Amino acid sequence: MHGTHLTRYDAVVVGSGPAGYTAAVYLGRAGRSVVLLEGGTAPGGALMTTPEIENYPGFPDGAGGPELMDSIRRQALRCGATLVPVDAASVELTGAGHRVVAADGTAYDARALVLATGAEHRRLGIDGEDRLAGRGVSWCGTCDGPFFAGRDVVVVGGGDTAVEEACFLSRIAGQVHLVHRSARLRASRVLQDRLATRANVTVHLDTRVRAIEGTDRVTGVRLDQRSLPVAGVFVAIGHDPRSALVAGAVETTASGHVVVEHPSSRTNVPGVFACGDLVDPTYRQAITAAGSGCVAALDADAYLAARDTTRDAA
Amino acid sequence: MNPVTSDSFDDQVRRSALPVLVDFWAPWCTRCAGMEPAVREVATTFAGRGSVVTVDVEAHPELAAEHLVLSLPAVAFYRDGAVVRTLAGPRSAEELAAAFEEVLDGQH
Ligand SMILES: Cc1cc2nc3c(=O)[nH]c(=O)nc-3n(C[C@H](O)[C@H](O)[C@H](O)COP(=O)(O)OP(=O)(O)OC[C@H]3O[C@@H](n4cnc5c(N)ncnc54)[C@H](O)[C@@H]3O)c2cc1C
Repeated sequence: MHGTHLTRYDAVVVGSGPAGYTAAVYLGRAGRSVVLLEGGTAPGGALMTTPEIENYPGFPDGAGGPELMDSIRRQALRCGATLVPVDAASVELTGAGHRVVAADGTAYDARALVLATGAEHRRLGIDGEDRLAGRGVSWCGTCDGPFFAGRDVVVVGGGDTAVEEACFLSRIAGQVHLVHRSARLRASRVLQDRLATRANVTVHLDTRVRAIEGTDRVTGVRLDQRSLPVAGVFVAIGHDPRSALVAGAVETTASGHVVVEHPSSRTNVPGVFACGDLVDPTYRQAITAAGSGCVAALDADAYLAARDTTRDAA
Repeated sequence: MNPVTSDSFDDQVRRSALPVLVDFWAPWCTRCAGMEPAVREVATTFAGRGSVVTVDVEAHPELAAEHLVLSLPAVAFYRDGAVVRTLAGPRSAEELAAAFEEVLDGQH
């Protein structure tokens, strides 16, 4: 169905979060032909399931995640980028150029490649998690919370996302149990203060979820010392970089983050640049992802310009 | 893509001559909106061989409950009046098409 697209570009961007779309904005404005593969399942990235973003500059009254992403997306289109809603299935990185093959079989050739595939939620790796996924186990409170109106639920984790989920769910669910494996929450002060105002949230510190119980749907969780009867388990224990696409092809760290030559976005493969949560184990914000997408585009443009000059001279 | 209700579900899905892909969504579900183009594409590709219907679970919570939908987006495949396969979470057009193909082939 995408056969009508030109398949040779100056740059291919893979990933449609703040990093990828921002890279496409800059490459388009630099006059480069650029195609962005948005992904076949969740275009728009992590912010698509975040109803309210309070810390993205320029929006004093907050911005809705989907609205913000739609704005950056339209800006990329307006700057001339071609956007295709398909997954990149594989990459072939060669000295002469790079090829990205999409899930629908279309091959995209480009001299520069920008990787911006973001991060995905981490799994607990415990019994019952896979079997009951979609049957009460969820990674997205704002998506699935309404199914648990008046029911008791567990939120697993202690960071910003977990505390945000617990606050959100406390308005819908019956009792909310926030279970965190260490002695204190990692979430920011603001969020912890917000959590403290919720009467129906119980925090269980120094506690691990050992198993999720239920046959065709979740009926409870087993903790270290006791079990809790709950209908839902919301897992918010962090994110892992989505680097499977380039595993073995570009250098990654033990945690799976793509290695870049900071402060640039250059990977160990010439002409391949990476940005956003894919490279960043520390900051992981929409604004830092957008900022690093800009850096990747400028690096890619400089790389292309250097090669344009060499070719002109030859 | 044909929206079905509790009243039309039996006619359009359970008594359908063709296998049916049922796409469960809700107005609050942004990931469902993200998957809509994929569902639309599959509806076109399978026209004549299988049908595609959508269920708004906010308007029809009883259909969600009956199908044990506790996460969105969710998909159920019906053949000969019974659910033969379910998928939870966002899927691409390619993944939906591959699953539908298997349902048509009777592999599920
Ligand atoms: C619940 C939650 C709340 C958050 N709240 C805030 C907040 O309030 N403020 C803030 O600043 N940050 C927030 N963040 C963090 C922020 O969302 C991320 O830092 C940011 O989205 C990272 O952007 P990214 O472009 O690197 O990747 P992502 O946003 O993860 O986007 C990458 C996207 O690329 C696409 N993709 C992946 N693989 C492929 C492939 N093979 N082919 C094609 N496409 C692919 C997918 O659509 C994927 O979603 C939040 C995160 C979460 C999970």
